Amino acid sequence: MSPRARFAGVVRYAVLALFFALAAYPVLWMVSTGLKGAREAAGDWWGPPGALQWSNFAEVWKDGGYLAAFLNSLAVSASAVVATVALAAPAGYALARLRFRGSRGVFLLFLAGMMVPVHVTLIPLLRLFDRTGLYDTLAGLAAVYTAFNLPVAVVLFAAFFREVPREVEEAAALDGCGAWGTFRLIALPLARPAVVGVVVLTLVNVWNEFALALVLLRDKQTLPLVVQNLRGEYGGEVHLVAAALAIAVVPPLVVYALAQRHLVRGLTAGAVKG
Amino acid sequence: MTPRPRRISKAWLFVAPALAVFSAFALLPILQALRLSFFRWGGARPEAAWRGLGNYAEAFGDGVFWRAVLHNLLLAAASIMVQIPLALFLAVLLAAPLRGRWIFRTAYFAPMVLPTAVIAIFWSYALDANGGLALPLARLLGASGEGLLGEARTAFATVFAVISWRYVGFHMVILLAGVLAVPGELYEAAALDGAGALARFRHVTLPGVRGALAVSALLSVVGSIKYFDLVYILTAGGPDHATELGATWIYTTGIAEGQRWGYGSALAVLLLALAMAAAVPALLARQRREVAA
Repeated sequence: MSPRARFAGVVRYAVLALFFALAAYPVLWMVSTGLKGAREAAGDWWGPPGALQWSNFAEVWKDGGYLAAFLNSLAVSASAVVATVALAAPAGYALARLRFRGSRGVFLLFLAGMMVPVHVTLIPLLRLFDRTGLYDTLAGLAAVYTAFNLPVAVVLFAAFFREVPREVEEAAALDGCGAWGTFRLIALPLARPAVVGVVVLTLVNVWNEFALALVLLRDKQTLPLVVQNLRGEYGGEVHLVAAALAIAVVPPLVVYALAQRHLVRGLTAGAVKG
Repeated sequence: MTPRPRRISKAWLFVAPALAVFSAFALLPILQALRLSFFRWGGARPEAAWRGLGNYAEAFGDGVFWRAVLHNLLLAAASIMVQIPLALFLAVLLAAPLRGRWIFRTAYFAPMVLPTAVIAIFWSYALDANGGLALPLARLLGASGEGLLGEARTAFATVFAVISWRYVGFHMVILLAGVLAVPGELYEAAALDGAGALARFRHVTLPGVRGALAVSALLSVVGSIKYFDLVYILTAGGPDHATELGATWIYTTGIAEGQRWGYGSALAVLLLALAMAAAVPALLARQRREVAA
């Protein structure tokens, strides 16, 4: 390698490492500051921790409000994920496989639905929730999350089922399987990658969602609502705020670590679909 | 011809549940917003009263709203002119044969999967007027004791920097796919023709990623017009509306403080129209290109 090429390689790595540090630093800070003692954290927000005070995480975790919000987020995410998969998989299958009048229109509706701006629906949803008793309920919020995650899920499922070879399904049909049987017994088991993709995408979307929760909940809180108030809640106790932030990022980062490819594809689905 | 009606009804059973939930909680609320926008209705006036185009007339005189819309457009323009070039730069760096590419890509995209609320709280510390990490920068820029977010002069640029921190990696992933899809022979041929690195970038890479760039730009524009949560948590639109966006103003007037449901809906419809005015021509142009290709 010529000296010039080697120099270019070093510069390249240096630039990439700089942006790496920029991207990774906040999470690193949450963990390291979350390990500081109260006095140390108050004195210096940014230095590395001295003695590691692991009890901060337990203290935040056991805080009634935080734990309740964490469990609420878990419940809402789980329900929305199950509902999204249960509704989107058959719809995606039908749009990919069963030609029917209006199928193109339905597909375009879901495609356009990927771009529905949440802010337009906030006031009508608030009125609807007030009237129907869904206001401040986790079930109501989960239903709205399902609705907003359905379009991309349907599009992803439809794209997947279009790629699956038809032969197996045709054989099943010859054996007397109806459309539903073929879907349940043949197509769906093959669609594991699509299911995983929709699950992780919906999970992360719902876990992180803020605006709808802000408007549609009051006494019940999801994690982002509690996180938003952490600075007010803990006052100057930076170490506790940092510990609380660190706990909140665990679920999405674990999902990201386990299913990176699926998650990236889902979040950039608008781009892939074009 | 006789078996057809049966198949039609069966297929609809697959689609109907998803369609019903999507319609009830996403589609109908949009139509409802359109209807509401013609009424005077809200927390202070529990009886809805027809107002015709009154809400829209008022919106046209609402200086804060138009300032907010201007901020949305500025955000879109800045995203295209700052985030996307930076993302393309990183994508080109990562596209070369490189050990550890996946580590960089994983880290760059990671901000996209973190909760916005967490990101906002972290940056509120980093930008804090007293203990913030960015204090030296703040002093350099001559910020007063209010800090970079607290001063009208610097607040918008600061918010934009935080938004960029989150989205550059997202655009980088989109563009990297485009860069990697450019056939290697094109680079070799260009190199044989004596093209330097810059010329190869201009004449091979750039034309090759045109499609990915268009996607990134479209997502930037639509995303910038809808933007809400990070700005709401960091500044709530302040100070003195310096970071006000369409969605934060709708929230303030239509829900939180004003509780003016009718007027807020009119603003929401206007913002939706703006987003569609930006997105629909771009999508149509894309479709036309694809048909032509």
